[in-house]
Amino acid sequence: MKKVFLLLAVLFYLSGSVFAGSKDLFNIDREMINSELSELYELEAYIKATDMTLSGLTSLNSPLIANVTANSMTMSMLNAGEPPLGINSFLWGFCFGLPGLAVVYFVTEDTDETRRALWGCVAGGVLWTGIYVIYWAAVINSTAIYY
Amino acid sequence: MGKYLFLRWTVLFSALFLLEGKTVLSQHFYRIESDISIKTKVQGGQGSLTLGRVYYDRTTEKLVFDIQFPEREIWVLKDSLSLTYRNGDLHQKEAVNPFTATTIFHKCLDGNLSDFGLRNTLYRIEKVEKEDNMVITTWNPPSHAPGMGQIITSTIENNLYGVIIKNPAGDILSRQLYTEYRTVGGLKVPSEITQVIYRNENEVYQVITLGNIIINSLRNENLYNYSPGSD
Repeated sequence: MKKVFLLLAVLFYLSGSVFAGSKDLFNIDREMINSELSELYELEAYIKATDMTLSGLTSLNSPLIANVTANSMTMSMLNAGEPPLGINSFLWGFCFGLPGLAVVYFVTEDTDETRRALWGCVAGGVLWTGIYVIYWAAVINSTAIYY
Repeated sequence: MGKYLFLRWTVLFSALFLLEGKTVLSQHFYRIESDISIKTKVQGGQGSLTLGRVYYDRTTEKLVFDIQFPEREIWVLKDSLSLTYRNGDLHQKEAVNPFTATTIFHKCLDGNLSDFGLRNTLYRIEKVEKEDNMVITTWNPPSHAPGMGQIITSTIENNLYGVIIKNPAGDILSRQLYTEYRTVGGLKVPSEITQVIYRNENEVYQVITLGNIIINSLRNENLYNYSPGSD
């Protein structure tokens, strides 16, 4: 069913503007989603009845949380991704160039953070190239004056 | 690591998904509180459940979550700060992208939900279609914003129904449905928001449910203006 849904989504996209705004574009298989979330619905009902927390359920070794992550929705998750060591990904690319870019890529596994690092890498490259050019221009200029 | 990051993105999108709104022109609506349930599951992976009650004051743009599950915590979001309190003590303090003024809570109170808040942005309408009872609007991003893609919104009886968010390449990033509208104190609020997020090869399913909604409450002042020790 998911494959059919995905295929339809792709077809709608490929079919261009004629169908891009069609009513069918807003079809979501809510039955399938509810089925996927069934364990969470079950857990929700239990929590509302018992007022327990995740740590309480963990101590009871409850099977209800077998597929529930403890890292569910902390405040940090409200932020857009998390750069390595909390250092801005742009700075990783800017200061460390390609190695910095590689660190962001492998640590975060996040396309957007990697893109930020890439922009940092580019900006750093442009800056250092500019400094290099200005430096040698100054050196050549001063040498010409000296002689 | 990857799965957690993926979940982070899920929640980011849920934050984004809680964006924008217009139901009733409502300059007198300044507070909303509601039970909130967020169920999220990565396709074929683990799920997460967040239960609690949310308090939002439009005048201060302060969003407070009184979380019951997974752990008893108070989350406070204002400007670019997010604070987590446990037993009245500050547990975590982080900088976030300011977004409280773009949540569904703000836009509902502000009366901007039906166009997803896009009318007040740099997005421009490309076309408007009508199919049966649904009005579909295609929004184009500003040309100088290369990271932004097209957004398609739909309304039924002037209530926001669906939102499709695309990336600049035209790939669909998420589909959102705003349903089960409730009229509370003259304000229409969708009490169920269903979302599918497409990320790489995975899909993330999410259902946000709002219940026991109260508008312009003068109670729970300690939560609307939460500060340590006030709970």
